[in-house]
Amino acid sequence: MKDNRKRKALSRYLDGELRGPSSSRMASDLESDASLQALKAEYSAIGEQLRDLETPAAPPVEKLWSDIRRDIRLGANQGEDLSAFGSRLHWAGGTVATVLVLMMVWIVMQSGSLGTAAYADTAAEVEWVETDVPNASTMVYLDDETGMTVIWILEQEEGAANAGS
Amino acid sequence: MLDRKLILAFLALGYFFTSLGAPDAFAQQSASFKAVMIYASNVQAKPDPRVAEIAKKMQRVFKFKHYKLTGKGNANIKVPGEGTIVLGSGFRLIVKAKGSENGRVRAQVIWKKGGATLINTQVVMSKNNPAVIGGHSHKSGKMIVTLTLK
Repeated sequence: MKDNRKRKALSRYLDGELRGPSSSRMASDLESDASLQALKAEYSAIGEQLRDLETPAAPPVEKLWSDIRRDIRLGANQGEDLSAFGSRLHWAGGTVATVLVLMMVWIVMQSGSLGTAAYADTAAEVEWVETDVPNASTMVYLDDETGMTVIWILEQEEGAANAGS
Repeated sequence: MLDRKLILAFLALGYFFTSLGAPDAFAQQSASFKAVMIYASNVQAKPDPRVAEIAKKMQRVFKFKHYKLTGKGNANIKVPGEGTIVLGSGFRLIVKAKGSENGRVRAQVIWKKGGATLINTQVVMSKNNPAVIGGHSHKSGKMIVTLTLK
């Protein structure tokens, strides 16, 4: 019990918590009591160990910079590797672009001929019509069956009688 | 960087060839026209084999029974440009090709007899689909001209 009290008092003394006569008494006890001195040495050792744990040694600045430089170098090397691979990718891209361009050319050329073929079924479209024949008029007729576009003069004497069916 | 330039060069080349291959509405080209003038009537006569094919179509559209070839001609016209097809008996066609787009040709067509204009029209024509211009009285029948873009 007494040892416990001593131990607590020593602990408080070492932590700087004892003031006034208690602190002076503990100081004189430490000088005369060998067991207290041994306990103090033990506490000091434990304290050292705890301090070592709490604050890991900071790496020297030189080591930090060397680490950073190594990281940068590694990054650069990775970049080189990627760019080497990317170069192949660029060539592949160029090839794909060429193929696409050739396909575009082919499609456009084909569409030109296809367009003509598609319009082959389109009848002629009359935009306007007039005649100088006196007293005549004109008529435009698109025959769906034959695809013929008829532009007809309706002359006065016969009118529309002779025109389309 | 070099590769990017290469791709751009390819694309530019592609655009160049594409623009060469693409049909241009304003590109100068030629258009070939064929005109056939037919006398249509109801007189009894032997069928004219020279116009047998077109006569078959015309019989579906007109009431005439007989169709006879009276003249024909061709014109190869630069677009834009104009040409005249003389059809005989004082008839002629003036074709003014004004432009072409997607294989179609816009043309002003003037059908004349002597100095008189029978028909003045503007037509957008497709290949092998004739514009049939007619109705002018002649003898007991009518004169008909088929104009085809070849």
